[in-house]
Amino acid sequence: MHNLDRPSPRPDEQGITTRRSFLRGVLGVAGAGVLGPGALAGCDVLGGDGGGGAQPHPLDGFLLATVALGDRYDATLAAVPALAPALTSVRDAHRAHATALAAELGKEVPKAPANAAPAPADRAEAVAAFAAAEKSARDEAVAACLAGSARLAPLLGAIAAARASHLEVLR
Amino acid sequence: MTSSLSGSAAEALSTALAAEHAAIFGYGAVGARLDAAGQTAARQAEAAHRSRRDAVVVRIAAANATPPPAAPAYELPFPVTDRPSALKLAIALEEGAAHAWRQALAATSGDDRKLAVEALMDCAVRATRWRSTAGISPSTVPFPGTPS
Repeated sequence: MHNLDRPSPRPDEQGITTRRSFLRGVLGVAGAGVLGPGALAGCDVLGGDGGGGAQPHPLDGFLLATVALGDRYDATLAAVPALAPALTSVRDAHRAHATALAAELGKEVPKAPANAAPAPADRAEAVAAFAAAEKSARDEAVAACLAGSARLAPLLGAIAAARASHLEVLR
Repeated sequence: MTSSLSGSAAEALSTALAAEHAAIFGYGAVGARLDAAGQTAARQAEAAHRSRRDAVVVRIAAANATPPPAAPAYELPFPVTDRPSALKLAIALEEGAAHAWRQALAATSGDDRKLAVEALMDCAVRATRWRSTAGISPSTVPFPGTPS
């Protein structure tokens, strides 16, 4: 008889390394502490001029879009509070993704530029807009996962999977 | 066409295959405890895992490696006696498979990683549906495939 809990992770698997690096990132050892948060965030918003010592990373744009997606939930939940019970955890997931990815990249979580678009007026409009946003965000995460390093692929894949699952909540 | 597999990719895909075998077996215990809609969902989930299993078997065999066969039986992590325990098992099966596929992302590239990320997304979506059916809120997790 085999235990259904198998397959279990083995110590020699790369996921362990990933978690360890993730922890390092969270603890700020990966270089995030060198610059102040403002310097890093400003640099990323401008596309990274390299002058501040923060190395531009191909995922900077993806990270910024992840932050912006969380902001979008904030704006909509403020405009349509009835959605808060269903969508607060989704918003929190986007925030958690940005935090985890920034940690992996050794950066502070950047600030996204303010979104000029007005928040949706009603529930149906908001849900439809989120569904479209989650769908393209999921596809972007899949593309990033496929292009990403072995170290980042598990996190990017989990982000893609979370976004796919958000679509279930938005049905 | 890449048919070769690195040692770590072959191992990761074999681990994922073992999780698919376990999920297929486990769903056999899920359906019987659910209502008609639940049975349909369980059948569809089982079919999805069978088709993923077949894809992985073909992939491993194409690399001239031997895919690990299913065990004759798997020990369920807890007794499945009613609807709540059946739903709990369905969620556990999807989370277990998601974990294996997430692990496979680091070890694979190209089409193999695509297979893995698509499988991970499917498992996450099904787990969300089962949590929702079970009345678990929130029905999503922020990092599917990561043990909580």
